Amino acid sequence: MEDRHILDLYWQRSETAISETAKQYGSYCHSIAYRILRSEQDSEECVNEVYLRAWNTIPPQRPERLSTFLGRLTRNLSIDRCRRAAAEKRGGGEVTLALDELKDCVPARDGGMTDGIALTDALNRFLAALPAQQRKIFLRRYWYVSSVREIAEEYGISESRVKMSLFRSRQKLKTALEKEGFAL
Amino acid sequence: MNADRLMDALGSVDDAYLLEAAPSFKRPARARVRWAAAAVAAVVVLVFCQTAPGAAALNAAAQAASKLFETMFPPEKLQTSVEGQTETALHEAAGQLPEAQVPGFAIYYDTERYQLTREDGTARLRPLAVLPTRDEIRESSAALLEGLSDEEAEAEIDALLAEQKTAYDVLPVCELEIVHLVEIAPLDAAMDARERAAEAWERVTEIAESVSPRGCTFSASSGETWDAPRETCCFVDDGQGGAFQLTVRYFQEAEEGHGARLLQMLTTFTVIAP
Repeated sequence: MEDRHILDLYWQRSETAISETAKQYGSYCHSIAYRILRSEQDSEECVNEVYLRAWNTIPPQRPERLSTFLGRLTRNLSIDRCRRAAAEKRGGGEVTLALDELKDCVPARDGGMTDGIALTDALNRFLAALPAQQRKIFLRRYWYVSSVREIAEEYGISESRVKMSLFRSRQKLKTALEKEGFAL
Repeated sequence: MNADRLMDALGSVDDAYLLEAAPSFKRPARARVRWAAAAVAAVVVLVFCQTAPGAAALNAAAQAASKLFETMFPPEKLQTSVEGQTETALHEAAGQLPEAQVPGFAIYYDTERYQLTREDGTARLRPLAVLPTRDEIRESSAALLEGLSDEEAEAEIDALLAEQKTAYDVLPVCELEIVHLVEIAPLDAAMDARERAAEAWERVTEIAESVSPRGCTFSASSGETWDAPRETCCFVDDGQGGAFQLTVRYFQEAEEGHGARLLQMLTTFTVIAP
């Protein structure tokens, strides 16, 4: 079923919207959740939370692209779960590692939501300037939270090459953010 | 937590980049056979059967409900601390589907120990009265039955069974009650309820924020005897200008049993938007 039909079901408040979403995007959402949470049960719970969140936000929202809308929800909810788990000292897995790696290229200023939007804009410009392969590897690591090994396997390159690509991307990101006025 | 900020900002980058980098997703969608699907459907039918006008409507409602509940709320094993021990029990979801402008809800409960009933718009989770079988009584009361004729023994078993049933009937109530309140904000509803509670109970706590479910809550209690009543009220925003009031009632002696289980079930309450 096409996205617009699924979205119509949400707007009609038809329960089929959920089962169609699960059919179409269940594995996609689960895959994102599992990469972050590394637990089958936590991922299942997280994906169910995504369905409920989608049900409760569409309408009024009507996302242009359902896949990325659900993907973002999954990522955000999974990272939130991870943060809660880390706060309860149950470990943060790949998220903790990814955060550690990003620490060095992070702006120090704290400007709340406005700053968040500006930061996303700066990230979009930074991504646009990256070579395609490097961009994909960067997003696989820091958006999808895939492990270095998973990225290496999927792209058929060595882990050290993935690490090198990520290192270079982080250096570029640090420079790009400094140039944009995000003081380090 | 600056790295967190960067991670959050990354979450909102353009769709095109996400699609370009999306990994392959090998796991089949919901391939797992949900053995409890039929049970969930049965529970949902039970909840809705009192409002459906006929068998056909009942069927359609049950199918729609089971789809939604099965997908969004699959059975889960939940842990509860009961009498100092960790108890793990399979919980299934039931509740009410949203209608035109009326929000619905879902709640997980232990179907082995509780039943959900619905009357006049009020849903109630109450413990199931688990009576022993005749054989169990025969075994546990062997000494008492010894020397009796078969006829006398059967009569004694009848009496013991009736005694057990009476014991259940006279126990103070333990329940989780769910009521939908229209056109009143959760905090206002909580303040009204607390005001009434302050007149009826010896002790009433201040209204506090509740995390699971998100809302506000207070508790009330009177007396210290084994059957002294206890009550916890929780008010949750229904997203439509109203609130759900969830009230857990139990008595002192049941605090670490049914009280603990019902309060755990309360945390699973979720509003479903219409």
